Amino acid sequence: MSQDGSRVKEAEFDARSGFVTTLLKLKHSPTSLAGLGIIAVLVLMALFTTIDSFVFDRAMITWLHADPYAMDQTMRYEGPSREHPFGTDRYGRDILSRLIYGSRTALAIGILAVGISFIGGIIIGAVSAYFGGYVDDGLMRTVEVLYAIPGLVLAMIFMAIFGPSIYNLFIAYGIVGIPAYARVMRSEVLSLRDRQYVEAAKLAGLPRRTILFREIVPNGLAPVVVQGTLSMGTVIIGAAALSFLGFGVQPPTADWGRMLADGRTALLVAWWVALFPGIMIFLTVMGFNMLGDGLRDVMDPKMTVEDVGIDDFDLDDLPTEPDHGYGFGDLEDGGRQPASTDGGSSAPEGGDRP
Amino acid sequence: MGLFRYTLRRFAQLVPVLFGIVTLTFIMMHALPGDPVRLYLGTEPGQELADDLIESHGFDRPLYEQYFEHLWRLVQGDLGQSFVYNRPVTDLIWERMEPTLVVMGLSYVVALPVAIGLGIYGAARHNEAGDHVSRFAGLAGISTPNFWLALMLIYVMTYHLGLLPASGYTSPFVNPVESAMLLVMPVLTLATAQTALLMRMTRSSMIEELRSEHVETARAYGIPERKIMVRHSFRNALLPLITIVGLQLSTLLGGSVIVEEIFAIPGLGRLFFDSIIDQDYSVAVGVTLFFSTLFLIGVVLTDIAYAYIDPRIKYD
Amino acid sequence: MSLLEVEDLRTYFFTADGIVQAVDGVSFEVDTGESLGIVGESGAGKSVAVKSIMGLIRDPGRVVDGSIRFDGRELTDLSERELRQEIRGNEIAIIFQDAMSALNPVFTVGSQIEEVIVENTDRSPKEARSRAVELLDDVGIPDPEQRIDEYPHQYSGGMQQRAMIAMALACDPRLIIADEPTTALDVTIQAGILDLFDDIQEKYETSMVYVTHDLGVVREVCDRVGVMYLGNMVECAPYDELYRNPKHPYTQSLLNSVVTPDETLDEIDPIGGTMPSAVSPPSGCRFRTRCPAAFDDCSKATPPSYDVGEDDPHEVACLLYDETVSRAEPALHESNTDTDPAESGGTADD
Repeated sequence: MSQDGSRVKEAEFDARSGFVTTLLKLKHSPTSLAGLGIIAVLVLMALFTTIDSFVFDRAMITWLHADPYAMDQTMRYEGPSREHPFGTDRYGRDILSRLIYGSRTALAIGILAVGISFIGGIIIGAVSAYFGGYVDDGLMRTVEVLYAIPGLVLAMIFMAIFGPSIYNLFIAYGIVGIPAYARVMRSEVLSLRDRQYVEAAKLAGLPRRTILFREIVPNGLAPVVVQGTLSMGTVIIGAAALSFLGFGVQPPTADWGRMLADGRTALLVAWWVALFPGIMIFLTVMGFNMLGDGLRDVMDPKMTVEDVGIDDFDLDDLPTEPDHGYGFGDLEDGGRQPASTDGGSSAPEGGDRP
Repeated sequence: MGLFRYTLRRFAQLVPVLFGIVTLTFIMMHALPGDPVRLYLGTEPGQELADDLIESHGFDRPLYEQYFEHLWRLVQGDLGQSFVYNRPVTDLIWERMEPTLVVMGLSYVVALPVAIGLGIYGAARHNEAGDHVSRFAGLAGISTPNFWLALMLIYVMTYHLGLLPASGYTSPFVNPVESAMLLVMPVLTLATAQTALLMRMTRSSMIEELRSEHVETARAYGIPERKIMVRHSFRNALLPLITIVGLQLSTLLGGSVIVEEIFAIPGLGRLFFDSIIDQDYSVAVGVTLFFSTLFLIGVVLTDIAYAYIDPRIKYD
Repeated sequence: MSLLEVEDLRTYFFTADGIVQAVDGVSFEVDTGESLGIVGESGAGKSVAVKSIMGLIRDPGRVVDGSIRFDGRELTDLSERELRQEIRGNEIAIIFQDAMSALNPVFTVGSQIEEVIVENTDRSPKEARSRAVELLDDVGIPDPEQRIDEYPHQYSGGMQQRAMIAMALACDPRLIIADEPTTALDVTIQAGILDLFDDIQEKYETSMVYVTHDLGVVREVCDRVGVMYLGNMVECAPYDELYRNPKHPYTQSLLNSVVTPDETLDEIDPIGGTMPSAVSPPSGCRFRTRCPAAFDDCSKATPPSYDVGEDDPHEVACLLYDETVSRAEPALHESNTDTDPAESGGTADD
């Protein structure tokens, strides 16, 4: 059994170290770095908000700027000013503070919903591909059924059944997202199923469940992670849309979608109520999409030389007396791309649904 | 010959999925809260009246019996009765179909040429300034929430400039000019993310095609670059694009709920929204069923288009 | 006069990992009607060298130096447009390794050949079609009238490569470059294609550059052979001469590592180590890190070419053949697997 244990660790190690190397490549991509920056700011905002609301009872933000929940009827629909840079809403609440507080809701929905889709999709996709036959048919037909119903429609029905609340919102969008992940994971497992280390684990007598989730799944995670980053934005927009339509987050919780709904009623008199929450949603989604784009590029072997052109080199600088470096240089592929190596490395572009 | 059989096979494959959707929507209908009978009759119904209604709709029978009857009625093209409008759901869907199809169709008409043009441009100027700009615009496009875009359009176009009416719908077959004025903003709202997504797709598959070996062959045999772009790459790059166009139908149908709500367009999306609010669940379920069917047919049609362009499919 | 003269060709790739010196100072000639083989391990820069001739190197690669004269014309001076209209397809044609991906899957084989004809000659589409049928017949495709309208995936691997050859012949080029055309094929099918190359050369009187890593294939089709190692041409001689009397230590090891029927596996002598990276190749002679005969001077400068041939030219780029350099006589045919290079900055990891 100890032998089996070491094998398992090795497989995990491989998957992880490969992923870390990939992440390091991101530093060559200014777009994904910018995306990462936006996400970092949002995470900081959300962390601040969480600590502030649970530990200090909003004392910190009140001291710094204004209480996001404090109503002031004398300050209804105040335009942007020094005191309220983004103006106030119909209850006289400061929009900037509410935007900062809304980051927590947005990120929570994004992370939890994507988490549910991620885990659900991985399990369904992996089981489906690994066991094949009737299991595969049954699961994939079910996934297709879910996929056939427009995401927003499915989520609205779900919210109508279980009632509008932020928790149901997580679950609704979590379920809506499962099909896309299941498909990506399934195709990955199908391509990894016959690898030698899997054969080795089978011969070692490991139970099927262990082989599947310890040996195969970790090695097929990369494209699913890309899918996750790219669909994070879609989920955030979708959840905001539900709240906008009144099916999601309920007042008085600060939520960008909800704030936009308020902005809609006040559009004629107070443009700022609608403008700023939208910009926040846009920036957040943009951040995730930029990061996802970069991730997909670095994980795609065809794209590694993407942003390096001749202009990046000084031709006078050619090495005349080169160092002794001995590696595996495959020259003939230096210029040509390794074509037809991947049958369907599942570029997760299409399955976006709001 | 091959294509015809392929078409038949793809449509036959729809049957189990459709069956699954019918089952799922049936479960939804019974899971949704609220008592349609009470809702229909108001707060104080006479007991007999309620009993009558329950019996005539079969609400008192076991679920599995109701399920089979539901199936049987669906086969006959009966989607049930709306309690709010007191009319067959099929009639309602039929009436409300035009605005939805017009808005969706137009957004495809706007999105496709723009997306393909910009996508090819980006691929041709790969890694040059123009490509970076279009790539960034594409990212921004898919990151813009359409409901916010709609509000901003209304603010600028209607409230600020007074150019376009903010809500309503007139059939283009009745009054084309008024209709066009009313359609500009809804179509723009729906088409923006669409265009961006399709553009990104066109760009990336064109870049891949331009690096392919058969393009290298074409270059090696003196085929002009313009012909390589148009004839040798685009046709191949079209293949993934076609698939996406089909899959995006789902996004557009979902988007129609938002757009029709904001711009007060009496289409299917609005019908669905209202039915959820009014707890008129046979309508909600009917529209869901209709949307899914429309989506599935769209996907099959794009698959057939794919097979038509790619000779490798039909002979397999 | 030589049809093609390549002199000191340098093609580099500018990648994120550094500058890959894929082809670094390669010279060779091809006479009219002659067939030159270029052999070397994968990664030696053979493909890059021949693609450079046609100007097919794309970003991030570039021909940075050297001269390519075709029929007296300097090809490196030509614009992309001139190359396209005057050279590619009608003067020089290329056949790629993987015919399946080299042909466009969404067009019929015929339409692809016809397009090449229409683009490069004055023939009408109708004439192009009858010419295409003729060509397919020439390369041994049965029922060309019917099969011309089929798609590449309906052809077998060997037939796809025959179709590629038909395309190469379409405009009567004077030089055909074959880039590992049989590598992806079964041995039996490979033999058929090699016979076809022989027939074609006789019938069409074209010159040919044949790139391969398989010395056996070279024997079938080539008059002369150039051996490449890590972006350099290390030896070039008529086939029989090279085979009987290899001069360069690399060629010697290469020939020793070929399995022939009258040898047992014990007699096979693989080359020790792996090929160094072309991003930072060894200084001086690039083979010295794996060379059993390397000595101090080898690291100083790239060795020039010495003609050691008696009748025909036999060029070898190795200091062993420089009479002015003094050294101990190396034991050339010793097993080199466990012999470390005399001087080296480190051994290749194997």
